[in-house]
Amino acid sequence: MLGRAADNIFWMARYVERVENIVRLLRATALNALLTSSTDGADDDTVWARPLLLTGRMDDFLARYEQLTSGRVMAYMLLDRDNPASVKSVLANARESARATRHLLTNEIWECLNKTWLAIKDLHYVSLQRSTIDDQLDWLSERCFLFRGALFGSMRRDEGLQFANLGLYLERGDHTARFLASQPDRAAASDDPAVKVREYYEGTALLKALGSYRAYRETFSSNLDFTRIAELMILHATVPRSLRGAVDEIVVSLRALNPAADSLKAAYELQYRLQTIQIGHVRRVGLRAFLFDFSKELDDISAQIQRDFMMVQ
Amino acid sequence: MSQPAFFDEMHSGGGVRQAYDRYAAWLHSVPQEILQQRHDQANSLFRTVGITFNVYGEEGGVERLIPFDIVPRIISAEEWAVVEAGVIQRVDALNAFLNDVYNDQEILRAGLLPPELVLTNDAFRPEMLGMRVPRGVYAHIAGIDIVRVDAETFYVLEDNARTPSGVSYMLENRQAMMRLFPDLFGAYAVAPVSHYPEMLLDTLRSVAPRGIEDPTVVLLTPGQYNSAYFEHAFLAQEMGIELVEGQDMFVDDGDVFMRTTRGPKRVHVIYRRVDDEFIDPLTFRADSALGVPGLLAAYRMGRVTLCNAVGSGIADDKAIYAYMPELIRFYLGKEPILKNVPTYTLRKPDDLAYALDHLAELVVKEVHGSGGYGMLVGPAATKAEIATFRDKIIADPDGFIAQPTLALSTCPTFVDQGIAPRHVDLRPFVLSGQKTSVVPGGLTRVAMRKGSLVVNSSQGGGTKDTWVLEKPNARARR
Repeated sequence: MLGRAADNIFWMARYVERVENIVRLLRATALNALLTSSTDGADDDTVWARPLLLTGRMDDFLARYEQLTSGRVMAYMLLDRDNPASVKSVLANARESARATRHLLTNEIWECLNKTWLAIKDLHYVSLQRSTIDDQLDWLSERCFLFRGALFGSMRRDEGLQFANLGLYLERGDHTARFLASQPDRAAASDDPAVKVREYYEGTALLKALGSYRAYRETFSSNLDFTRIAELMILHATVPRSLRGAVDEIVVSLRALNPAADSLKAAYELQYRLQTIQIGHVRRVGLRAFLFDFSKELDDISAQIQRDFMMVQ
Repeated sequence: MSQPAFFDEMHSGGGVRQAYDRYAAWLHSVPQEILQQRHDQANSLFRTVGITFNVYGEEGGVERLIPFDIVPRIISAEEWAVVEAGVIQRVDALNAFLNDVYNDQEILRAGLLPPELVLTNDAFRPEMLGMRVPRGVYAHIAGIDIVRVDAETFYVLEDNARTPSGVSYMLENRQAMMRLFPDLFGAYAVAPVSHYPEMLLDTLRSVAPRGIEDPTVVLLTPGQYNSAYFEHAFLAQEMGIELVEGQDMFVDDGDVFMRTTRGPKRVHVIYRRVDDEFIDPLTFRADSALGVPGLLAAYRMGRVTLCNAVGSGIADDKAIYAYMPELIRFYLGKEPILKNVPTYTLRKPDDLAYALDHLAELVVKEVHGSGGYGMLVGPAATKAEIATFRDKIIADPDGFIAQPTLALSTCPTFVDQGIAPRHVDLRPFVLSGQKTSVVPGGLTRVAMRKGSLVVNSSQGGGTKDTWVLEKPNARARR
């Protein structure tokens, strides 16, 4: 397979995963906003700032709009073509990557992406009203699931699929790490019932944003606890959106591509670390510092993949 | 001017022509709403599959659908036999001519062609002189544009020997028709066309450099913003070959390689959809990012085969066109099967004088133009347009040819007002490798505007599925 084609397939899958993450993020934000909204109906700035901060778009947003409102943030993050992190922009990138290699994709994959793109291309701001926005977000999530179904259900078990898998899990690992790192600092556990209730809802929103609420309930029989959430999302191999889950998949794909690749060695090291540490270690290093290092190592692996397989000098 | 009577593919000679009998009966019985429904279905089908072409210089929605018409153009087995023999003959002559002008130049020595017409032509590539290409084939893929004016007479309007496009529409149109009208395919024995990519791959493999048993074939595209990108991707997928861009390949010590995930891989045959000027910045345009530095040298050394050959454009030059009947007689010793449109070469003073006197009746084309750009259709032009064009001709008579306006046949077409006749042409695709062959069918292009004679997609033309009917009992024998 051409190195450029591999690169395009890698990015196609990576962009679709990014779309799904943005959609989850927006849904969690909307949920959070409901919990924290004041009675006068004003939007909570700190809640609506999250999607912008996490995608690094805050400065651009403020340069264009004076006020943070739920409607503006939704519109900006979903449909704004001038925002490179919007769902529409990222989907456009995914489709362009697919279009560049469509001869290597099955019709199911291409048509899934193309239909999604054609539908969002015609989507207008009107459809983002409160009453219909959930439907739009649900629909987008479903399209992402459909894409993965088409990918794993129709692609030949060959290089192309491995590069798609790499794109998907590098993006996922990166997103989970950055999302966890963006959480506000938590004070020590409190006995204040009001604080406990609030933390329950925040923890729920956090897990839902990472699509892992059920996973938590099934794994731990305890109450919601932020340390356990971190443990689940960092160390548990069975959780599809955990860092460990992502790295395991990266290792599998790299091993299938070339057992002697330098990128595989780096991935093995990262995997070994996640396999052998306990959550106490993460706490001692500091959650943010740990996650920052993790993101950095993922970036290095990604760059090494370029050198190993795409003949990038 | 009196309205010329046009030959209609479905109704002529006072009734429904035989090839259309069952179709006409069906069309007559089917309600307008059903046709509209099928028409809409076809559009959404093409949009989903992404069968689009990119329009140069248009902002915003750059990917556009070519209008697809749901009424097929039907050709009887007998008619096809003539067209098939005619285009094969034509392409054999084109290849013989190319092999000659780049080697022995007997045609020039025989005095049948003015040497300056060839040697000073922009499409002539002196870099190709003295090179022997595999099997002596230059135009491996050729599209011959044919129009019909009455029941018996087919004219070749244009030869396309560079990088003819449109074959993906021939294939996708058939797919769409089979999905939309399965019953009709039960009523008619339509010759299949879907094996074209298989034939194309065979052709490409058959011209690999000598001694290569299992050649690696690739398709070289200018990239996904090219107007025919869909077709490039489609053909690469159908043939199961890599779709490469210039940046994906490099030349090392005379061999051509592509950059793969497992390192460099040798390439033997390049089906290139990039024009001559852009394929090698070391030889042609230095600013081209679409080509591969050193490719021409590798080609000349016989390490790689380019399809079509560099310099094939000289054969489809509109100034050479006028001499095609002579070339067929000279190289093949046979009379041309298909007619040539009488052509006034405006570099000749007599022809120029005649053309300037009769601009309102003639079609005038730029010698190097294509895609329907820069042409004048006299009968359809305003006085002002004619006056402007006259000035252009006088400024550069060598740059133009003129032809009488042909009465292109019409075919019933589904338009806003219902079914109405629209002018059509036909482009069969001829493949030359070990032998010369053509799939039974081609691309029928249709001028969607009433009265228009310009069928090019860049000028609002649409396409139709082309049904070549099999000889009775052909099915049983297969």
